Amino acid sequence: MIRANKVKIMTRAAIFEKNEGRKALYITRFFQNDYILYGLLKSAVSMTLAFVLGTCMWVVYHAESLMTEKTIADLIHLGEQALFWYGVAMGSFLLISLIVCAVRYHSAQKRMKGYRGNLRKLLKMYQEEGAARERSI
Amino acid sequence: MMMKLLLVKEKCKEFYGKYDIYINPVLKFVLAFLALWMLKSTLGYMTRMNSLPVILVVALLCSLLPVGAVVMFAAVFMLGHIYAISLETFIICLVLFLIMFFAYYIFKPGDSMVLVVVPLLFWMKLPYLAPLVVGLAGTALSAVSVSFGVVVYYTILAVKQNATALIESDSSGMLGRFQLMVDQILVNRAMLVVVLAFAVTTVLVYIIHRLSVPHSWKIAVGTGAVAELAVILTGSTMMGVGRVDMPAMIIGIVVSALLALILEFFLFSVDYSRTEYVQFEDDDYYYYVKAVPKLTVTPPQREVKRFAVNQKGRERGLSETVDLDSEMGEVRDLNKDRIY
Repeated sequence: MIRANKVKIMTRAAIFEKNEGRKALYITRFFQNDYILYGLLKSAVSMTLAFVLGTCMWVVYHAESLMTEKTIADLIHLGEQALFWYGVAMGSFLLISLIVCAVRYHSAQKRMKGYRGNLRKLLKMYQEEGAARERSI
Repeated sequence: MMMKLLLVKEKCKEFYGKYDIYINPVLKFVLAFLALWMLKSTLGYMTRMNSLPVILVVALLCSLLPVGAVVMFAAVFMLGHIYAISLETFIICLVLFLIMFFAYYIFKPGDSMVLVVVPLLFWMKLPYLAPLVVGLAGTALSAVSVSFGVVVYYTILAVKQNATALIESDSSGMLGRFQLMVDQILVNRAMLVVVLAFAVTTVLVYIIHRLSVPHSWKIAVGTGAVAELAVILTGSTMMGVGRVDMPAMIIGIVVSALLALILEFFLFSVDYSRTEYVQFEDDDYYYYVKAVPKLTVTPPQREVKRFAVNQKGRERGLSETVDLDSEMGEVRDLNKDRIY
């Protein structure tokens, strides 16, 4: 027999899973620390690639002066400067990523509350149905 | 007047709830078409990408794909047009896009559409609307998307303005052209001021509209408009950007604020929950459910009530009807109470 209440709860849960819950379900699969660490790792890789591309552009832009005017010592100094700026950029991006990931994890957990409540109600209904069947047998 | 507007709003909601399956692709088609048309009219150096059938087919394709496809096709078209001018500019833009992609990937605000909408608003002479609307509809991280949208627009502008110098290949060497474009695109003070102003406005509007004070959305739009003006003026003075056209900017910001308020009324303050089609199963059944959102305000419907006339009146040939206008007034008042 189809129970209207059960269908309502299942529909709500399915709509959540289909729309805004998709992201939340993905995020809450992780432990908080794992999710943040994963986010930081992705940010570090993206940041490094972006920095390499930016540095390449800078080198091409200054190619003429780098080849004619700079000595080896100057180039080493430039390399040190580049490393320093890489560190600064990486540090700031990682800090922002840390905050963003933490906030995302918490908001995902908050959004999951209603969904988990619905699942609990469903579980209870199933248990009741199971018990009723056993009694009838 | 207010009641009529609220009813229109409810009608819009009802209409969207019913036909969202058709409305969303049409909106995506319009967005893609406008973006490609803007690229054709501002750049338009690759003739194959300029033909109307190509634009229509790509826009049609975008209407069937997720919104990210509009951004991707717009980027491909832009790079195609730039490639037709010069290889160096193409490489710069490609690298710039890749850097933006990596930075976007770090924050992932999930509103890639903004990257297309911001240049479009610039093209439609309504740039100041972008941070106000994105601040209302997005998150604080949307400031990243808005900033990248500004960079994309100024890149298009820089390419357009320097097209002649770039096409004449003998005017400067490859390196010269590369340096010219880097100077024009990346070391552009006006662009930096606008990026800063739009980012600050987006964050400010986002923060204020979420405050739990009455009319927070309207306050957010007003504050955002003032902040936009203040940051652009201060930034332009500090960074030594050329003369700012004050009257045009003020008019633009006022018009944008008004448009943002209209959009707030019809788009953002309404829950456009749509008809959902979901499938699931339990031990006994498969369910294919269509969930239709309920209406919150029911438009008053005119009903003609006729009362039976008594024998005396019938003899005189009279019939009696209720004063409908006063009845409708009462219904409106009731609904008004329910809405607020």
